[in-house]
Amino acid sequence: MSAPGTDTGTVTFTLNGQQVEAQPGETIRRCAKRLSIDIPGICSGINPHYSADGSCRLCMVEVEGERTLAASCKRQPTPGMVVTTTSERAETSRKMVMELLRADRPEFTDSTYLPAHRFHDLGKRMDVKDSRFASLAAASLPDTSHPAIDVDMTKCILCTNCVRACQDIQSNAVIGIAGRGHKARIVFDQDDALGFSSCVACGECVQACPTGALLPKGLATETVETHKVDSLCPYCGVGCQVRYHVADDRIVYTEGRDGPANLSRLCVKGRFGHDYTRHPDRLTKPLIRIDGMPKDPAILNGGDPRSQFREATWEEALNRAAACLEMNREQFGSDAIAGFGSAKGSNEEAYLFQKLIRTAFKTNNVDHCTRLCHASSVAALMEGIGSGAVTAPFTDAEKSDVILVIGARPSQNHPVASTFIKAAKRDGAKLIVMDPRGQALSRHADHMMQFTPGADVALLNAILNVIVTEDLVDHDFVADMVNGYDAFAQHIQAYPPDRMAAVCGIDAETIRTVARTFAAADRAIIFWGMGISQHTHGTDNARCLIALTLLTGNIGRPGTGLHPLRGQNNVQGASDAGLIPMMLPDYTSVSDNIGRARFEEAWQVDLNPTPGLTVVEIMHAALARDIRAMYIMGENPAMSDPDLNKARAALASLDHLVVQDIFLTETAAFADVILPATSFYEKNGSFTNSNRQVQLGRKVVEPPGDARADLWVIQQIAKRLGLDWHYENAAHVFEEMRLVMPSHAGISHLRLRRDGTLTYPCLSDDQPGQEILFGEGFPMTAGKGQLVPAHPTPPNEETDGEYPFVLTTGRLLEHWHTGAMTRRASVLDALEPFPAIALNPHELDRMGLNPGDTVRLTSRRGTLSAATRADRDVPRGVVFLPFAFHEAAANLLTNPALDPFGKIAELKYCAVKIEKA
Amino acid sequence: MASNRQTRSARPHPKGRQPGDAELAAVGELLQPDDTGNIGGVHDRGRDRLIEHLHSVNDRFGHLSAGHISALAHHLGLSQADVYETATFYAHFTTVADGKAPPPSITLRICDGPACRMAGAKTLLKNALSAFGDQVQVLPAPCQGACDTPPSAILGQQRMAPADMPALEIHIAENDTAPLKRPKLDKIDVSDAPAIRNKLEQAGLRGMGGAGFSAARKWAFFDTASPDRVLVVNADEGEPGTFKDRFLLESEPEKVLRGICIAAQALRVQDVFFYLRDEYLHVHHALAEAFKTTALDGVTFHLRRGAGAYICGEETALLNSLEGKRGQPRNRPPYPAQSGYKGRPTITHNVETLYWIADIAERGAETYLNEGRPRFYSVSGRVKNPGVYRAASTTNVADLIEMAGGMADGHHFTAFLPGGASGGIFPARYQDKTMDFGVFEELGGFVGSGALTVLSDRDDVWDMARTLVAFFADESCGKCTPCRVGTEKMLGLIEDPTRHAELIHDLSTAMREASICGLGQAAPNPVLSLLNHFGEADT
Repeated sequence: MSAPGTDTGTVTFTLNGQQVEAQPGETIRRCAKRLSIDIPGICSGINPHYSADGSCRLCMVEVEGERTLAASCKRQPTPGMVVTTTSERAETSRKMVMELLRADRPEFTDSTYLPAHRFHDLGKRMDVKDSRFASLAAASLPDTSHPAIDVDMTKCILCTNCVRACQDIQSNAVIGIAGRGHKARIVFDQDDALGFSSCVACGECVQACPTGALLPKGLATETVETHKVDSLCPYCGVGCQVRYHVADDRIVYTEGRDGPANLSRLCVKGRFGHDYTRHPDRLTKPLIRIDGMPKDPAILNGGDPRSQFREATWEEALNRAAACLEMNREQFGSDAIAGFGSAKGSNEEAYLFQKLIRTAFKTNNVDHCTRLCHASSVAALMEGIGSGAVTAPFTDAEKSDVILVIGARPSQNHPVASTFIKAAKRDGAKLIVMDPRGQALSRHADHMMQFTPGADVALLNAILNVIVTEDLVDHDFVADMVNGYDAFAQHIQAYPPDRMAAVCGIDAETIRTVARTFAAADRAIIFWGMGISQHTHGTDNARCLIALTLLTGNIGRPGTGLHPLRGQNNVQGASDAGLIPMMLPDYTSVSDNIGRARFEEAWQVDLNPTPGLTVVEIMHAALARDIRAMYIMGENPAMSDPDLNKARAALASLDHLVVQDIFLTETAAFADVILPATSFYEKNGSFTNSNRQVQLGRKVVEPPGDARADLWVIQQIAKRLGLDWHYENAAHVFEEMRLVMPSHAGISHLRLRRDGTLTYPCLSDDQPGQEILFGEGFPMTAGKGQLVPAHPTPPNEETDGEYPFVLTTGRLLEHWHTGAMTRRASVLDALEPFPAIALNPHELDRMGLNPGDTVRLTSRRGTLSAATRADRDVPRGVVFLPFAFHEAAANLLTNPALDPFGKIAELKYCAVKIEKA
Repeated sequence: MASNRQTRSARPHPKGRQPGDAELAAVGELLQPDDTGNIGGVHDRGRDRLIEHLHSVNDRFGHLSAGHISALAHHLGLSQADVYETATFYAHFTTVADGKAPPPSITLRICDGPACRMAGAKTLLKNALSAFGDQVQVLPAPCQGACDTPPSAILGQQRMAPADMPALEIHIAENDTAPLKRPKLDKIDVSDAPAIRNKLEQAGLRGMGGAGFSAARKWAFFDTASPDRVLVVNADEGEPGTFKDRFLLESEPEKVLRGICIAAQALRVQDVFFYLRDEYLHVHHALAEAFKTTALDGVTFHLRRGAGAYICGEETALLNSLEGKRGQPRNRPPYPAQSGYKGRPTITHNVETLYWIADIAERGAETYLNEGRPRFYSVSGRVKNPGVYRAASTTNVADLIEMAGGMADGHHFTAFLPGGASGGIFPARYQDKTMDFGVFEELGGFVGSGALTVLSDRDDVWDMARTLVAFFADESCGKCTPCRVGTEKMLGLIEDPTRHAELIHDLSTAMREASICGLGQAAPNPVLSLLNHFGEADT
């Protein structure tokens, strides 16, 4: 046994007669590849993030003095080792292996999907065309049961790349190897048809399969020439980099690129959810409401919203849109106008949109869906550590000892981020998950704490109590970096675990164990999502999490920190760009005279110093007729806002509504003018993910019909409002942004194009971005973070005899936000075609219902009906309904009561009743 | 891209099979806590004890339904595929798909090994199938380690050797399927373990599992190992024709245990895993009791059942099996002494090796050397008295046949297997070769675990070769191409060995040179040795 040159310097050995140096930890094959020596191989995965399996035996090489050949994908050279890759012995063996692999395979069929060519191409390269062995393989029928992936196992060579894709890379473990010997085979779950398995369709296996045994649906026979466009995924805040393969102005298939946030991984939405961009519902012509056509919310109950509109030219539509906005401003004043931008748009679009609202209308009534997401988190973060963004990327989970996930379901909503959490757990980190509902992470968790809905503060205070009373506090850190300890320590005495256990439903001993585990970590990181923020006590929830990190010193170092997972691809960037009513770009307060003056100088205009209204407040103001006109770009408040009956009435009450979107959304149904815009795939722009990584989206396909780029539309409106703007393209806008946003000063468009990604803050051209923030202190007085006590408060609306169930809302893996895009993506729609009210199976039993039976769900604000789903993850007494389905819009029921700081509604808790329909 | 689902409606359940309440409860009851009181909860989700849990369910129900597997996955925090992969790897688990009728809950496995075949096991199998096929699940099985008393069968968990139809009939009728337990072991005194390290080196003891690696050199790897060390006892004796470990566990288990304790102390391990092949359940109870009463400072004993996989005798496959996974060998390096059980430094010894460690510790290296490095040979086949014979490593084939009483009446010695299925087949003219490491290697074979199977003029060597290649094809783990595909293709080629001689040689070379472990590397041996050593005169 010889110790391979693992971590200590390079290793000198002989490769094909040449003295060469291997890097530490490098295998013979990697080293050879670096030196342009080709060694065949197929089981080593598709990128360096895969571990080589060492099982295909196509990469065998000769090592002097050894009895057998060595698998060069596994073997690391040792000093003085003599390796030959080209000896007859090695080549004969490799060719025999190829011959064996080819023996039972069908004739190669050409496919557009290039990854499926790899095995065939390797055979050609090795000059092995045929096999002398008789085929013994039993024919098996292709499995076409899945909407996204076709399976033909006769092509499978058992390289097991798909197994590692599913088990190691995505940590889903749906794919396994069953049986043994020549009967060993790839299976899903328990030899189930893929479409009936627990597969989440991330498609990693399809990308990893070198034979076409696994193919994107429909590509088995199609052969077209494609070209590649490197861009991003349009969905969640993970910010996956995607390569689009395009033919005839159509996306044929996708591949994950090796971006910093996704390492070539994708999820079902990013990989298969792109064809909404070609959906027949796309708006292709500007529309104007037919004169005299009333705005009636009832149109959304199965009516035809399109029939309310007539087609118009761009000229007419733009003129009408701008003139009516201007007229309302003149008549009712600046603050009678409001704009909703979108977290789905680019940084440049967000920036120009808020600039338009602020400069043309002199109002700060500009907001976007961050208000429905992390506004309360941001409020707590600003107050506690002086910054609203994440302090560390989610990929840092792999450097953590303890990972706490609370009120987040990353396997559904940030699937690729969850892969890092699951991998970290597998590599030895402790995983603590806190969520009233069970979830995909539950089975990985060391502690799965399904606490009482709404009892977040009670649970977190109990944990904080243990940390303080058992003196698990990092006193050095607190002394140097934290204000308010004494008061906080006093405050937290009131919440011992023994008392809080009854409130939060978690026993005191578990609370103590978890508190000790968290406090004992050298590096602990916290992830959270809407389960924390969408409460009337959302800010308090986040305050507790901040206190956890401050008390234990878990911030400012790799593997530590606070990471509110961002829900949309550019919710971070849109907020950075000032698409919020109280902040100008780069979080410059509108009421900060010096800061505002900087923008007045840059934009050559006077700005309104009064913070504007937030999303839900704007709806309330519209209903009160204080807001008279709105410009909504890419948002869908008629689905996403709480208490939809009110929100829709508010939209209907507007004198003038301009909606710029790609579909005739529920919101657009109330518009006066609809401007057909471009989808993510049809334009260029930069996007900032949850990790603060700024990345470039590039145009993949042309917009349909007369749909126009959003930047062009905004500028056309601006021109008609008298603004003299001349932005030639997104890069041009971005260059202006970096001039006014010091945190982005070092991110030139040139650098972005070259590096593909840059993390902000990046203060100058020669700096890398700062991934980990606040190692040197917080942007607060004296650089110290602030502990803020939080008191448990009951949810705004409690259950009672009439409304005995708690309704909680959220997303599905397949359906994102209001479903406007995902429900028009054929694969996503096929996977989750209809709304389902998820209940614990025992509750269904109790009510005498079968899974799938239709029920009526009613809150104090609204009612709807949909089929039931038996789901063990949902605790008794709770109902879950995603808000993406217009035919059972969950927000008809939700409570619009707001968190006093973040102005976010209590979307995670309201009282409902269930009746048989 | 349209969905292939016939009806479009909301999914009434989350994706994939959902375990039912009944299965969750039934399986949950069977889960036994581990040595630290864990079923699979907080600290270790229980994957490493997955095989034990699968046994619990399979023992109870006689099979593993899809519902059982999903319930088990649910309880252990694993995915269905995690459990299914392991369950379908091992022959002793019977998985039953949704909607399929489970087989009879009792399984009768009739040995298909070389000695049992010679003793009429195939006829027994045929008769048992027709007589009991509707009451019990009758299956052929690889060597059960009863080659001294063939034919062998295992009914449920009870070993029956020799087995015959009348005995089977009675046992089946009386549902007498529990293992016949061995007597309780004497208490092992571990207070004063004799020094061993130097003696081991002096004695030159080599591994008796088959590879013959120097025990002292193996131990030297631990000199710089981290403290979380592990000792694994390999009692997965599966090489066809080998039964000496069974013999030692039946006849001198205390001495084996002393060897374990001596090694565990000398190596300063924290855990000892005893991996017992599932065919040897009759010693399980006695061992379990002995481990309960053997207290070794800082050492935890774990007794684990195999589940019917020859490959798990391979050291790294065994480690994967201990971790609850498919018994697939690992690429080396890293060697287990660097990174073994769950990445911890691990040394594995065969049962017999541990016996000799005790022997050398107690009687000294000189005695061991003076006795000619004795070992226990399993002698079976066409000899008068098949059995285990303790003899010097320098004993030759003819001497061993002599010790076993010579050839059985009416049989003329024609050929032999010096090392079970893997060591090749040789004509009688090599009978003066000593049964020691390094001798048969020159001829393309080896003695391995010291299993001598003697063939006579009534045996067809090609038939034997086909049986052995089929055995390798069945027992290949399926991980690496040369072995997975090669063993299967070899089966086809040897239907007409002369015509395919060239391809057999090419294939054999690749299997020997490119397979991950000894199974694939040795699988061509029976065929090659016949092609290379047998002339007209030898058959």
